[in-house]
Amino acid sequence: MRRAIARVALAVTATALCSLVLGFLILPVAALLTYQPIPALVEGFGADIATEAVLVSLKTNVIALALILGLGTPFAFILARLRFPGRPVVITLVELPLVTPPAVAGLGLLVAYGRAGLLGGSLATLGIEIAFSQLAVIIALLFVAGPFYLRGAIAAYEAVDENLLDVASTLGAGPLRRMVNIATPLAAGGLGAAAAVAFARGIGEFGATILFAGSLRGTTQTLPLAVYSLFEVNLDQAIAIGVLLILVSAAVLLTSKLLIARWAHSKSISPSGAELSLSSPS
Amino acid sequence: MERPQQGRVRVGDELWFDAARGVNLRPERRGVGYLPQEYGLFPQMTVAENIRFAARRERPDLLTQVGVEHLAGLRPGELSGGERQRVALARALGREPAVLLLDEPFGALDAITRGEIRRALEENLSRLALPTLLVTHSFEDAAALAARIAVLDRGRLLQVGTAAELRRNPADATVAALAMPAAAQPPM
Repeated sequence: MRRAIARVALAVTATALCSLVLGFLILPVAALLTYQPIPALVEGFGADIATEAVLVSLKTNVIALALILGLGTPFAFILARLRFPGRPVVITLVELPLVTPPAVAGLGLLVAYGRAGLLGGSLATLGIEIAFSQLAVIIALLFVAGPFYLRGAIAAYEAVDENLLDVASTLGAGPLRRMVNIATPLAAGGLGAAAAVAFARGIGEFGATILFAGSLRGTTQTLPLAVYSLFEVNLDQAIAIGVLLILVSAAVLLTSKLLIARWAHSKSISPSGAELSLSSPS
Repeated sequence: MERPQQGRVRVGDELWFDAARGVNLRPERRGVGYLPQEYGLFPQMTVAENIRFAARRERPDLLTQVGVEHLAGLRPGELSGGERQRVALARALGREPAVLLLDEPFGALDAITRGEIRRALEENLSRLALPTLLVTHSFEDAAALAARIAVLDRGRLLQVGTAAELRRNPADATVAALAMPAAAQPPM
């Protein structure tokens, strides 16, 4: 009798706990989604300020992602496979932007590339001004979102079975062929998921962007920046843009989960099943 | 890949490694056909693509040579142990190697697959006539396949000779225990 009561009590407590946590997480999103009737929401999507912000966000994020993938992928491969003294330090430096507060990151970028800055001073004399331009948005994205890709990509490449790369070298493949033909296809799912995470971080980027690039409509005002600028002026419009951001983020999350699932499946039918890991590299 | 602390590796006229002279040719420059224990077939490629990776062109003749031409379009995950070994062998041959290195081809196999693989190796090795180094912990398999056997214990070379020589004149108790069938050994 005592046992039955204890089990019921446990079940009730567990249910209450789960409902509490889920409710807490879902409430803000639900509130945003239900704030306005759908027609008003759609109208909000179409407003000039919204479409301009969408274009800025899309253009800067796609360019940033292309650079992150193009430069970051070989970099991640080298870091994953090469053993050199000081490797843990280098990996920590690469991950540092991940734990740097975005506003501080923006400050750092300003001090480095701004008119009076470390690198910016020399660039200014050449007539190149980076701060408060669309280029600044891209640079901010590279700095804050890039490391998310690098972290996942390094882990994905580390998970590739060393045996396969060794065999590839005995079959005459130099480092480039090993990276392109063997390691990358095997790490593809992990790389894709890491790219999705980096993209999601980029779309939502706010702090570094507003400090380094400012919030100029049509040039540097991304979707999150538009939300902030509209917040006290036109709450309905701000919320419409917010919902847009939620839909984009949800799509990115789904894509990354699908990629992870496909990668795990393809690994399971390989003779040597390496372990799936998207946590921090060793 | 490990780098030996001392010694030399010479194949014919080519010096691949010499600790004393600081020579260490990278694996991709050596002509060794290496079959690791799990065969190391690239799981994301088909059998034909695996061969083409090594040979840099289509080599259907290699597949026929080891008897797996009917598997060309399959992935390694769909093959049996014996089939994988044949494919790995065909792939290693795609590089036209100077020497074959087989690492524990019989490791961790069930009896049926073991028999299949031993038969495949016997067929192929004798036909190829390539210098072949086979690493195994089974004296029976070594005796069946090898012209000469070298017994290594904890990094030390104990004895080199034919299976018959090792059985007749074992250099020490370790070799004796290894070379003699269990039933013929005197009770302890």
